[in-house]
Amino acid sequence: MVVLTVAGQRHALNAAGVVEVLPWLPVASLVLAPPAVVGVIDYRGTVVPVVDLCRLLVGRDCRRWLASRMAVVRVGPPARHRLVALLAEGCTLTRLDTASAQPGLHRPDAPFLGPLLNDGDGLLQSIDPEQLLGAEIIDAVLSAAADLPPDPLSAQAHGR
Amino acid sequence: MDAEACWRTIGIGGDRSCPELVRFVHCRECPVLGQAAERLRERELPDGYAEAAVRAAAAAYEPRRHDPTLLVFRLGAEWLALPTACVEEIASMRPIHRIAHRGGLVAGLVNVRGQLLLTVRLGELLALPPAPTRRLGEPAARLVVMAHGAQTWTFAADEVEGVVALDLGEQAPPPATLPAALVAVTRGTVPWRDRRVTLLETVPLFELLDRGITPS
Amino acid sequence: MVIRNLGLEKKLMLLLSIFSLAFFAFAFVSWHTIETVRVNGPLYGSIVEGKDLVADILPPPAYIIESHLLSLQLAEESEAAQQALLIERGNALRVEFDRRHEHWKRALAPGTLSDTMNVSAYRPAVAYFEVREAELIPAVRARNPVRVQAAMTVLNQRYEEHRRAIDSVVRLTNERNLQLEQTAEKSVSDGRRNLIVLGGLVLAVVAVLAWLTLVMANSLTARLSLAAGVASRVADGDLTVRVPDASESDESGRLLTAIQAMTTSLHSLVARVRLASNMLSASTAEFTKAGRQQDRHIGGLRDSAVQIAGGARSISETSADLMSTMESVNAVAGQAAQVAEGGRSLLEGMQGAMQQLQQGTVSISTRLGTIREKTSDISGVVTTITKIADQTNLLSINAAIEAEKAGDQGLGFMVLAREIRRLADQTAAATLDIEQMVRHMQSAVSAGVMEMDGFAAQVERGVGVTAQVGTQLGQIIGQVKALSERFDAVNHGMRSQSQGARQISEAMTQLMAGAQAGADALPEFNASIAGLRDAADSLTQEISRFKLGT
Repeated sequence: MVVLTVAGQRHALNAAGVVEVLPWLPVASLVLAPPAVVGVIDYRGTVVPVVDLCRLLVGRDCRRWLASRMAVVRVGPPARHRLVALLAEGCTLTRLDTASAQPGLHRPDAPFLGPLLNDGDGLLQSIDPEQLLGAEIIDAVLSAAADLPPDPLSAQAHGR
Repeated sequence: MDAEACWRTIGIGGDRSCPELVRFVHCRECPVLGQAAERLRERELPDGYAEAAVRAAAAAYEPRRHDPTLLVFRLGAEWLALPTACVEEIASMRPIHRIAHRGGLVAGLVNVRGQLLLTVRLGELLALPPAPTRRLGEPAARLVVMAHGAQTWTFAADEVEGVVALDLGEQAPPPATLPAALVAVTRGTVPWRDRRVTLLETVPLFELLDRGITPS
Repeated sequence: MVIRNLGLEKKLMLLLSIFSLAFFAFAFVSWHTIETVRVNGPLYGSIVEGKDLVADILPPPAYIIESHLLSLQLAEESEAAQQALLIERGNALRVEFDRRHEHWKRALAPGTLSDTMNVSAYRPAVAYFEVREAELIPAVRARNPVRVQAAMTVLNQRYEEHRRAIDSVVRLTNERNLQLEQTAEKSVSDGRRNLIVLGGLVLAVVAVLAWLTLVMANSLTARLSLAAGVASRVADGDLTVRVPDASESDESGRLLTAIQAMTTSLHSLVARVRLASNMLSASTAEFTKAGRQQDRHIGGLRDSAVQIAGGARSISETSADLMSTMESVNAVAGQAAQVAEGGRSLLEGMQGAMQQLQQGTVSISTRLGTIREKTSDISGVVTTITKIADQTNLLSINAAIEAEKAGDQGLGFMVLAREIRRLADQTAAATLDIEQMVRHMQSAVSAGVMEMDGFAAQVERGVGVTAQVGTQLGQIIGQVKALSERFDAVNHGMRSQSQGARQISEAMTQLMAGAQAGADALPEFNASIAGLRDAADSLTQEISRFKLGT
């Protein structure tokens, strides 16, 4: 399981869905994007929207740390999958004690949160990335990103 | 902060009084170290780091080479290459425990991941001239673990360059200056940087080893 | 000599008589001489006589009578030798004639006589000679009697002319001579008359002079006798004598005036002497009195001298004490100065040490600074390692993810990934340690730097304090030295005071000795006073001889 740390809380992802883990990258911001979407990045030639999990879960931006990670996950059916990058404040791996899965608190504003898990070091909140963003939203984001001027990311990265 | 640097105080860097050492053997296996390391990274990004990362992230995957890669290493003054397929592991040099009443090509036994493996003097097997004295600053000697079929051998390489994709199209026959034993196990030489690397063939090499080491 | 004792009058008369005598003698001689040499006097007559005689004997050259005679002779002479002789003599006469002509041409004053002589008589003579030369002599030589006769005729004519002129000349000359005689006679008689008149005049003058001289001599004698009289009166002692005012200011008058002046000054001198002798007498009386007083005073003086000597001695002793005290104080001051000096050199050594310390602190601070720099270098390296550790961590995670996706085939890979991750974590931990160490080092360096700064400040303070103390010590030493100098001055003063006291003592002793000598000399003193008094009395006596009138 891939563990993403958000504001000190550990959240777990299935490693199978994770394509690659990247360090913190500067994003090209978009106008009129959903609040959690902070912008897009260029991942190996593909434009990928970035979801700030801190924004999503605790209402503030992720801290820009050396330890900050963007986990690129595959969502959607295999034939028409999309890539989404999840921005968190830390990333590790762990092995689960699968026997100890507990149902977590159900939050209506966070449908992507799943049951609580235990890996021997504490509880983890599982995340289902499929529930994070709908395909339409992703498409809308991507089309908006298409309007961006060429090579905005490098410009933004150097600008920082 | 000081209290948490247990690896330095009671751990492997200290007096080794930590009870967890019994379980983990080394501090690096202990999650305490991991968490500490994680906390090390909870800080500002260094200069230029993000820029480099952007470039890395935007770079496409390199196409997979179809040529099999080779492990390039040096025995004495001779640069050799082994097919990566037969290389199990490259490990740090470690003590070779002599075996009583066995000498010659067998250097002894080594411990690799809990396994005891035989170490051969590959240089002698291939009749290569002995290595010059090691100087300071040279890359470290490595223990190469190679396996083919059921056989697993180890030998000490004076220097291991790494896994390299060489253009086998440039292969040339071995020069006449090579010893006969080496010629038997090589296909030829391939240019690499400003050298020519002698390619070792897996099957002949392992046959040679088997013949040379089998107790008579 | 008899002449010397003669009176002035007699001397003058004698002089006058001699002079008159001489004068008369001269006058007589003059008269006699005149008489002798006058024209037609005896001398004159003899001279003229002589000249007449000469004239009678010798033919004058200016009168060519001799030449004519010769010519006549020549005309008759037939012998050549004689002719030659006659011619020659004639030539000589002509030369003489020319010469005399020249003379008379010069000598005679222009007038009738001159014309007659030099023209009327001369021309025919010249013609005569020419004819002689031109006619006669050649005719004679040619023995031509006719020519000779012709020549002689001409010559005769010429001679006649000449002779007539000469006769005129003679006549004229005689006339002139007569005039001259008359004139001379006249002047002699005039002279004689003048001489007589002059003689009479001289006599008169001499008589007047004699009378005048007499008068003068009288007055002079009178004055001289007057002066003699005054002088003898003065010699007798009468200084009141008065000389009547002399009207003349000649020598005799001056003599009288001088005598008067002398008398006056002698009078005043004697008056003063009299006054002085009175005073002298008075003084001697005083001296006698004073001598007695002095005797009394000497005793008192002696007592005072003794007292003063005692006082001076005590001053001397006190000065000596004070001097020794000062010297001991000086010695102490000198010691103090030495001690201060020693302290100062110690301070200097300390100062040197402090300065070295200061330099040392500076070098330590520098090294600390270097360490601080190096720690920042280390931090740079640590950053690099951190980056690598982070990237390794990332790689290991990705590797593990791939391994998991590979399932069983990825197990070996998973192992490797995990190992990599562990190493990365270890590296991270090591960098943490390094960072901590660096932080410790930096804080230690900062603390060290702060301490060094504090230390340096203290050292500087110490240096400052040392310098201050050194300066103060220097001041102390200076003051002690100044004190020492003042002591020397006081010493000097004390010594001189001592000397002075000693000198006073000596002077007192001398004074006392002098006083004693004075006392001893008192009787002698009195004796000399008495002698003085006697002298004063005798002087008074002498003076009283002079009559001073008032």
